[in-house]
Amino acid sequence: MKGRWAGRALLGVPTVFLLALFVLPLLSMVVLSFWRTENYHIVQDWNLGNYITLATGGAYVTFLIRSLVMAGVVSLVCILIAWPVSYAIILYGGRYRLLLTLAFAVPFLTGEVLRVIALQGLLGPVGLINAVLMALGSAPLRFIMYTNVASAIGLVYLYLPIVVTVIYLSLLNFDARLIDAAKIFGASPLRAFVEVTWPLNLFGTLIGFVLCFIPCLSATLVPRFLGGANGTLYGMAMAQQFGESGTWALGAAMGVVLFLTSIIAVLLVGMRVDLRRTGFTGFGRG
Amino acid sequence: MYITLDGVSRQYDSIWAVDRVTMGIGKNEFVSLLGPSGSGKTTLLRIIAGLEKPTTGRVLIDGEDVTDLPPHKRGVAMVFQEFLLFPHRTVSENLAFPLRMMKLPAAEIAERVAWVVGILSLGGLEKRYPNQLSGGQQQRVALGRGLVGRPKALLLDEPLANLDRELRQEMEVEIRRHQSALGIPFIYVTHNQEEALSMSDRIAVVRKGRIEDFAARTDIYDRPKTAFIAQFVGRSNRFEGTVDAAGRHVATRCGTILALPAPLTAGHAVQLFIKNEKLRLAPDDGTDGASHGANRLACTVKDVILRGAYADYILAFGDRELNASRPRSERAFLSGEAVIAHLNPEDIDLFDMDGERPS
Amino acid sequence: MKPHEPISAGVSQDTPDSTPRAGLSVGRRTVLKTIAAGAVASLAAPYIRPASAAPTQLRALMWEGYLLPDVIAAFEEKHGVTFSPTFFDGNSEAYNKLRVGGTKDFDLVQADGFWPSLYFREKLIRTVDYAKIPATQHLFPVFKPAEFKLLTDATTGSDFGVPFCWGSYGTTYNADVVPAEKAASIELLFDPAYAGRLSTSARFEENIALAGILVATRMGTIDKPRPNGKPFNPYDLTDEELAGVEKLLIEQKPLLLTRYQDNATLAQLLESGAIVAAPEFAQTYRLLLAKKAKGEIDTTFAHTLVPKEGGLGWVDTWLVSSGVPDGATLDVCQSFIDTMITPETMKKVALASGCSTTIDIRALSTPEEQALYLMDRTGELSKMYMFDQPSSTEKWERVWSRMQAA
Repeated sequence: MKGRWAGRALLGVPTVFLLALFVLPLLSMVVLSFWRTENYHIVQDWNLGNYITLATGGAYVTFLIRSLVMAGVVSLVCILIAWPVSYAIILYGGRYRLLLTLAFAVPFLTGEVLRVIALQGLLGPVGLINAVLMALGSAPLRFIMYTNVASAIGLVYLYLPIVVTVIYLSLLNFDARLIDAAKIFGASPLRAFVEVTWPLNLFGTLIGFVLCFIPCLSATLVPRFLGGANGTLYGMAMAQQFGESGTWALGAAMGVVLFLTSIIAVLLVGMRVDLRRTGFTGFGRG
Repeated sequence: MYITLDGVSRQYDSIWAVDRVTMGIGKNEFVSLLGPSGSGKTTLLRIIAGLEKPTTGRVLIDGEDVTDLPPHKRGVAMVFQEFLLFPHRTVSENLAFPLRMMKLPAAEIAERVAWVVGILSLGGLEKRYPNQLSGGQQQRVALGRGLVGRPKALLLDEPLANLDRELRQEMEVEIRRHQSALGIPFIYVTHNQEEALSMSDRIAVVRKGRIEDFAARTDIYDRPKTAFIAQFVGRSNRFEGTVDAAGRHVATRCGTILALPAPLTAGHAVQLFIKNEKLRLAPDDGTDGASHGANRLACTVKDVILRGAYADYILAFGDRELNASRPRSERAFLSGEAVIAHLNPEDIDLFDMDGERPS
Repeated sequence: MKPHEPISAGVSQDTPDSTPRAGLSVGRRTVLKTIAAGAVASLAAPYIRPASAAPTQLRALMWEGYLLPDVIAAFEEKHGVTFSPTFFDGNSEAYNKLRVGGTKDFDLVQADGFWPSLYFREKLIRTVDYAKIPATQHLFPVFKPAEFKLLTDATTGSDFGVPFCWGSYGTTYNADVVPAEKAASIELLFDPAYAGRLSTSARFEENIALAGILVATRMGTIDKPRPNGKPFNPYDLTDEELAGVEKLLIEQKPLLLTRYQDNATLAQLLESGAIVAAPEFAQTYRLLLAKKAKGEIDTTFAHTLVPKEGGLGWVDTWLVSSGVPDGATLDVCQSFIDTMITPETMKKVALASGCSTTIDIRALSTPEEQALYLMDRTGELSKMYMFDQPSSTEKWERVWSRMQAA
């Protein structure tokens, strides 16, 4: 009896945390999204106006589609880069494995703003890349100066470390001798990857995908600093509602839509995955 | 020979894990690679499988030089110590894996899986995932996955090490039965001499990357070629000593005089082994006139361990211990009883101090 | 409005966080925090009464660039109070802080353009007595209440703010590339001849208002009677004008290299020749002039203060929160404002912030400084439209979003 109470009390801690840090702010967001603003005033009359604006305004749907495409492309690129990198660390990292993985986390030690500014310094018209190109007598690369490509590079740069870390951890937990088993039973190295390595690390890969996709969807700083005039993404537009135009209710509605979109994205990914088929038991490696 | 290793070596950094191994294995042979951990037996197996490349030497399977072939082109199968079943595949999918890789038609795959399920009594478990199986069941699936593709050879890497004793003995019989039924060579890596002795036709004793001896299991047990084998295979009592002037006896360090089965050069330093079950016991009650003297050691029973049909005696002899193992059908001794342990000179295995049989 | 950093340090330290009105630090969390803070403040309000006795603390809601530590220290010593400033980036941020109970939290407040009159209408600030702020006598004539009407209540005639610094949102351009007659018009910022070599700030109000002046000029509505009966104000555009602005801003998009987020970026873009013209507060212009004077750059930059169609301008002011009662606290507040606008302090402010002053400090300045800080051109202020709140932030936000999505 006593143990059961203790168990419940312990479960209560995460519950309270979730309520305080997640549910309550989310609820206040939802409430705000059904009010409206009028010249920096919140008017508390219940209405669907913000959602109607979002659905019919055109611009917001454009931002969302842009962001979905951007987040999808960036997440895919991150995974395409992170896989060989993590795999190489696992295979050849030896005793420097941990060091190498930690090295990937180093950019996290600086703020996101600093990293974006550093990238601006790299990609801009007077940035390192173009400065070098021009010094070599060639034309500067226009497509990396304040474009969506620059934003994508920026987002990949920001979130690649997360994806590498997640996939590395997944591979670390993966019993590589299963590859030997597959080879012994007639699988070529490529086939062994398809049959064993990939499905058994699919769950980790998807976590990496989601951990990259969701923040990309709400990215504010990167499009703002690197995206140029045509690079407005959903998160940046949403931040505008809160920061500059004071249309908080519309911003809250954008936030709710973003939240729902993220959930749907996670569910869509989740429903396509049979956890058993990823060797996931929920109880650690069995 | 169906499988031939010709001067195979494998070097890691500066260590030779496998050192100039040459051996041949017949088509219907059950061969064990027996050795302590780190002896290189598993590396040898992985070289045969193609998971490791030999630094030097050739590997031939069924007359074909496979030294440079990757594992999936060698047509051999393997059973791993940790089973290494695919955790994301059901039992029948695990069993079908080798067949799918062989691109067999679905009907044949189903047929062969059913066959393996039958011979390994896995019926009813087909839809389960490996982590829903007991250790013994996982072992059967691993074995089934090894057999289902009818490989040219089945390599087994300590497959029973993770099972409890009873299950192990059951599986030993079963594995042996499948080997004779299929008529393909099984190469069985183990550090457990009982497993090697119970199943193998021939045993290769591996030590420090080299084959100490490769012979029929009875030869390995009854006539160990080296002191290492005498020590490692079976359980023995060991003595050290020097051959006396007449060349007929050995004076051991513990003061006993032992008669030799054959004369030797005087002054030769030797080591002698006698298996526990070859040590005969008689009560020390003065009825035996020559109770003391050569090859008769007066001991006291320190402890008795019952092992079913056998009783293991721990004997105090001077300041050392001797071990004897006698059938329960013989007279039993009790703790504290005085006994005479008798070593028949014919049962003594005698080696130089460097471990070789004296010439 | 603008000067958040000492100009000397502006390049290296102007992080986006300090960008005027950039709103970077404002996210949904800020709003939630604000809502929560408001709730807490309204709960706690009955228990917190501002001391009517001599204050020990002077709390200011202000722009960071105007903070002069030595002046503050001297003031603290003289009046025995502790000065505790809180900084903000854009007017809307300060406005929000005041609206959710901030009048109890702050004694002194800063704002610019038309915002002080909005504050006063909403009873967020109170009247001040120019007689208690003798340094106001040094105000340039155009900033004295007699001429400057933005800080005086039309009905009662009482004053509710004191002018501090001023400036415009003119065009800084590369004089080696752009001829002066082109730079004299807002058209320059929409000229396809300079495609890819133009930039504007990321501020939606000023982008729309500036384009609004051009659109109203082209439509001829700028001189016509307005629907609201008042003179033309680019912050109060008709729907037709807004539609024109949207079209114009969409046409402008391909011409822009980017919208600069901070002065450091703008300076870099101009200096490197990546862009040749951009509207700004003249801070970057002054910085580039200083660099040229030191011989660090060769390019000649010039600045159009007020384009011929009309331009935007701002006057930063000191205000006293409505939470301050008559008596000792008000006296300290007014003394503080007085200290801040003495010609000596103003000179320091000008040098530190790079802004023009509303106080006549010509006697303390070299002829170069007088020219650079526009001390003889205060008269041009009357030709500018003051920074204001958009007539409908909702409508303006739609225009801006549609432009961004186009």
